[in-house]
Amino acid sequence: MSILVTGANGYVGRSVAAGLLAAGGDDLILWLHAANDAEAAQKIAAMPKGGAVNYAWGDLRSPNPFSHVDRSRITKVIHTAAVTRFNVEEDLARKVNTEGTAKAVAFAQTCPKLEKFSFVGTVYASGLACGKIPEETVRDRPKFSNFYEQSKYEAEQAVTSAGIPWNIVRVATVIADDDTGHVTQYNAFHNTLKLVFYGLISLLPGNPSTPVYFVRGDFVARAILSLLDQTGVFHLCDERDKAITLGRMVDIAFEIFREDTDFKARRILKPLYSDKQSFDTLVEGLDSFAGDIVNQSIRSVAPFASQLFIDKEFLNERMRAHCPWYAPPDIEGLIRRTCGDLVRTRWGRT
Amino acid sequence: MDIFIDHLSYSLGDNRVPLEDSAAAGRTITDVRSLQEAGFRRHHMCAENQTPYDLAAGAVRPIAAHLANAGAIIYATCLTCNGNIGKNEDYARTRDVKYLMDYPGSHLQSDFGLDKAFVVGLNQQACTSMLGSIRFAGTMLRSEPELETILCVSADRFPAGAVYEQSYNLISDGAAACTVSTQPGPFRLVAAHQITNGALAQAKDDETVGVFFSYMHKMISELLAKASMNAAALAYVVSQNTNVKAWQVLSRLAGINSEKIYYPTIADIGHVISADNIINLKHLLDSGKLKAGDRLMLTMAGFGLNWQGLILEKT
Repeated sequence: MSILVTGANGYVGRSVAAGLLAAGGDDLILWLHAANDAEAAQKIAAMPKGGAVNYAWGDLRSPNPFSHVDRSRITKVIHTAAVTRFNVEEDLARKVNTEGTAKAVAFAQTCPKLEKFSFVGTVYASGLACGKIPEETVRDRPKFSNFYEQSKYEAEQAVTSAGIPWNIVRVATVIADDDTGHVTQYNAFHNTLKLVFYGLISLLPGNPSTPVYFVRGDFVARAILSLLDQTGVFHLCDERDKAITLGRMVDIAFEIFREDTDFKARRILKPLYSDKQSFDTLVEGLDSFAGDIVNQSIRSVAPFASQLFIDKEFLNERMRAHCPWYAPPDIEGLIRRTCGDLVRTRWGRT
Repeated sequence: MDIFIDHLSYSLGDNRVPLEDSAAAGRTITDVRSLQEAGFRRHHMCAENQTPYDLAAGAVRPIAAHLANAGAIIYATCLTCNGNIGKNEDYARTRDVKYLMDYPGSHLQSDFGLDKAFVVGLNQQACTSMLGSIRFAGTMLRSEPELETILCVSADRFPAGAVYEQSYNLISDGAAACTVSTQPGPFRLVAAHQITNGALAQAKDDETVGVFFSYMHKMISELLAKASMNAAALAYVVSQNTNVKAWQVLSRLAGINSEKIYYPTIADIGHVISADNIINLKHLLDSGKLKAGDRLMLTMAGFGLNWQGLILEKT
């Protein structure tokens, strides 16, 4: 029997592949995003080794990205391939995340031994909906703050309407690889803290009381594998009362930043919290009062800004029921260690 | 003791230059469209032989008749090179440093016959130096009762060949002057405040902009506290001529109605270094919009990094 992991060279896909390799058992088909043989060979060389692994590669934007994959023995597909930037362009999000998922689903429909199609999504497929967000399919199309959210919502629709056995694991924002706080993949969270650390932004969008949901990469990979035989929707995040607020997160970041001699000497003030209109005005004016680095960094954060004003409560009973090993992390400690890693490595530069 | 501000005056470089012309001549960094969106259209540059002292004299001349009781002159420059009008070639020729100490304040005293005035130079507050001058003048008047009136002057021109853009602002050469006095005038000085963060003395443009909001917000909050008032009680904020969107953001952060932000001259003259506040205040006074009891806040951010503000009350 074979398990196909798409996006196996991506952050989540790679961890999932490593977990499967460590567990042994099924053959693996690791599907990588690559434009040509040379790029594929380079990426394959960098993949974790061990076990029975076959590689395939392609581009979800191509007409038949899985045409070279042997479907005869595939029992499970874990579809992690996606563009996960909040500022992904509409066209790219649609082609990769929405239509790409539809292609993966179509491929799965032709796998004669398919037992499960596991779709790795985002908790923000719920868009701008507020309040309790249950672990179930989104019934009414919500409004979205960016094309990433929209494309992942639409991808969920493609999965659930295909008539194949499926599950959806919605992942919160990955803050660190593991409990050490080490970071290998930088996202809007890390980039925002970088701007703050270097004194390049002194206001943040959002309400300090808004809960923000962070998870570790190792938890995500383990949960995806634990849930592989389950059906339905699962939220890979902590409960609201275990999550941290935006304000507390910034306070902790500043406590850690101030332990750095250079940062302390520069007397950077804690950022102000701006309303949405003020932040939108700032973004509108970026071309006229910011250089390229700040401009690009703030634009990478801006598409997510709306979420920082919304109080969401992601429910996770189903995840907890099927992941008995799950224990909520010491989120404040994790943020401290993550900020420490960011400062120590200067966001991966050293 | 009440301190009053009166006799607002200013002068600009003789050459009025469209933004597009300066961009074409390589005097700007940011593209024209972005500078236009920031509110800039034209700026003023000194004519070839026009000196910063000429600018200072040009600002003082219209108010010279009111300076008979000036007991001191505070002469401020943003650029330290404008605090000496001696010729570098004379120093190079003679190696006599007196040519590096030819102070424009002394010339101003002599040229305008301000014989009773002593001269103070102020040159490390950048664009905030006119507000700093007024603050120091107020302090001097309170501490030395024999003083009645102090002339505050700031004057700067950029060196030949300089880029006329700083921190995404289009710059004009110019000067401003006013009197600070114990004698009644149109504005009473209510409070003054300054913050300096020397660790950011050589901040890059993005750092300068990056900390603008948090430090201006802090300065404004502390200034209002000194004046025992809140932002809602302000009639106007007479700001520096800087990016219009920056003030749209800052006004919301500070709880100030954006319609109270007063900087109508930005399009025509750009950021006149430390003269913006006086120019905009004169414009506001001349407009007749003010009534007795109105409280105004003057704010400025500058290199150093410095943030300064004053609260004035219309008498």
